[in-house]
Amino acid sequence: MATLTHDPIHAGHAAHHGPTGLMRWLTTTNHKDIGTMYMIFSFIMFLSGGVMALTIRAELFQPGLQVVEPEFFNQLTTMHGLVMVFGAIMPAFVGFANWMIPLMIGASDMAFARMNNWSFWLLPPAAILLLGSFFVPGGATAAGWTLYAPLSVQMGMGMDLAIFAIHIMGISSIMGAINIVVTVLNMRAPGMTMMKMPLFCWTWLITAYLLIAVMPVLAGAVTMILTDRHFGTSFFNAAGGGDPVMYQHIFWFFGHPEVYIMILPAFGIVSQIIPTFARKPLFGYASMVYATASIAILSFAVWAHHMFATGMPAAGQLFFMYATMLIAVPTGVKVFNWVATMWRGALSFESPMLWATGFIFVFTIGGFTGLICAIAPIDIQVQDTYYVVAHFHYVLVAGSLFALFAGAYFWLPKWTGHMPSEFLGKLHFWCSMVFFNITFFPMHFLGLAGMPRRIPDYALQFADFNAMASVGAFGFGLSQLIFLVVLVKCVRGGRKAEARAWEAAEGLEWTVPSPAPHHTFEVAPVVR
Amino acid sequence: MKSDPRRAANIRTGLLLGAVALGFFLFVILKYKVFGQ
Repeated sequence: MATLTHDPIHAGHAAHHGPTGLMRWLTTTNHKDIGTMYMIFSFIMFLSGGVMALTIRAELFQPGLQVVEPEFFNQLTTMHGLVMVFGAIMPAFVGFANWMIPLMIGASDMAFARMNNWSFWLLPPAAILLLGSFFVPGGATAAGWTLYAPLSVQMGMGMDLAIFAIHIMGISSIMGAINIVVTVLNMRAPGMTMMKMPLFCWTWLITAYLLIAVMPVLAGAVTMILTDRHFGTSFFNAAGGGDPVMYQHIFWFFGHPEVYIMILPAFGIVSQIIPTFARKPLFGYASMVYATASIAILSFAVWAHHMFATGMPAAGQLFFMYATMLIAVPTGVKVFNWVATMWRGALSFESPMLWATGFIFVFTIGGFTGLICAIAPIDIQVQDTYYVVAHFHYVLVAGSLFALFAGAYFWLPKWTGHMPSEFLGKLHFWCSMVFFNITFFPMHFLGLAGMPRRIPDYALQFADFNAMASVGAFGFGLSQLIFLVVLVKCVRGGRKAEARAWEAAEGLEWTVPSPAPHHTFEVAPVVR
Repeated sequence: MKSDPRRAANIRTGLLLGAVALGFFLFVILKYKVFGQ
């Protein structure tokens, strides 16, 4: 890690000057305030999406229909996906970026501080539109989070609200991404060269480029649905000469890079944590950067692996199958480097490291089932079964969410000035890990046995594994309340955190006091 | 007001990236509107 000349006492001041109360949060341009708001917002959305998931699991606890109507079940599966992807995971990572990137590169704030405020404040109205759509005639959209045509062209007005919500969230994401790219490229402290940047900044830089490239594609796709619905076009309407399968191509051209948008920042967080608790520099820093870039580039060439069942020429199947498998190479480089960083390190397993190590185990299981799904003939068998549900929850819950928790425990001392409770952090981890696997591991067997996803009822042969998954889901949901307790305790008090809260933590963010003063690096540090 | 070269560079890069995003959006719609499938 680079050494630096920096006087943290004179490089920033703790006091906040400006409006107080609600106006402070409405008008703030401070990256730490905005980062905090992003994280609170995403946690609220995470709990909302979680309640939907638990309702789904309550219905699936036993065969037959007992808790909700089938139409409402479809709305729940759709909204659970949309809320978790666009409301919880993505904003949480943007919150981390807002808080940490300026601190990591020695910048006083984000490049466009006012736009940053606007990026955040677009989200609550979008969330109200999305969640409010449950209460309009016909209810929320039930076309699945992928909003496939022709269903999405035929749905009630809940679909229109979802389209507008996606437009607004997309604009917010694009503005956030532009802010991150410009901040990383133009706002680094003297001496902080690109290849000295913490890996979290690198992964976010590449993620931001992905966002700028694909969010407009999603916006285009849902705009075309909107015009098909209300303005007489026939992009996806077969009766008017359109093609519903074309929607799937456009959606997944967005959708697959979106998967990496949700996992690359997670890789960045884990790459910060493992060296700290292994007390060794990250193994293969440059290869990590190149692997991240390779994953991002390849993500544009694999979209049709989501569409093997639509029928395509054998050459197309082979291309998308092999291109998808190729992604395992840079991903494998990353997993190897994390393990190599731990190899012969002076390891200790405080809460952040537990979450990061757990991430490697369970994310890798999701990676392997992804490889299995990439094989075209197998994918045609497991398409739209619970095998796929199991696969992407191993990647998104055990991947993105576990990394978010790892990062939260790692940086909470910097955000609040207090160390999080180790006991509760470890309890949270072990409960989450056990219940996560009880929930999602049986879904592999259900999928292989042929249980379709997005259906509220099932054959009797699937009953045992479904009961097990539902018990696990409620355990997992309740476990997340432990995190809420950790947060409240950490904000209210606890053991004081030092500037360098973790013994072997490296980087500029650990040179400023804990909690980080309201303004930091007003005089840029010099990194040598 | 004194011009700040870094601020100008930020705005330049930001506008460029915004134009790229807008370009992708328009391309996706216009490609299928103008040229069909």
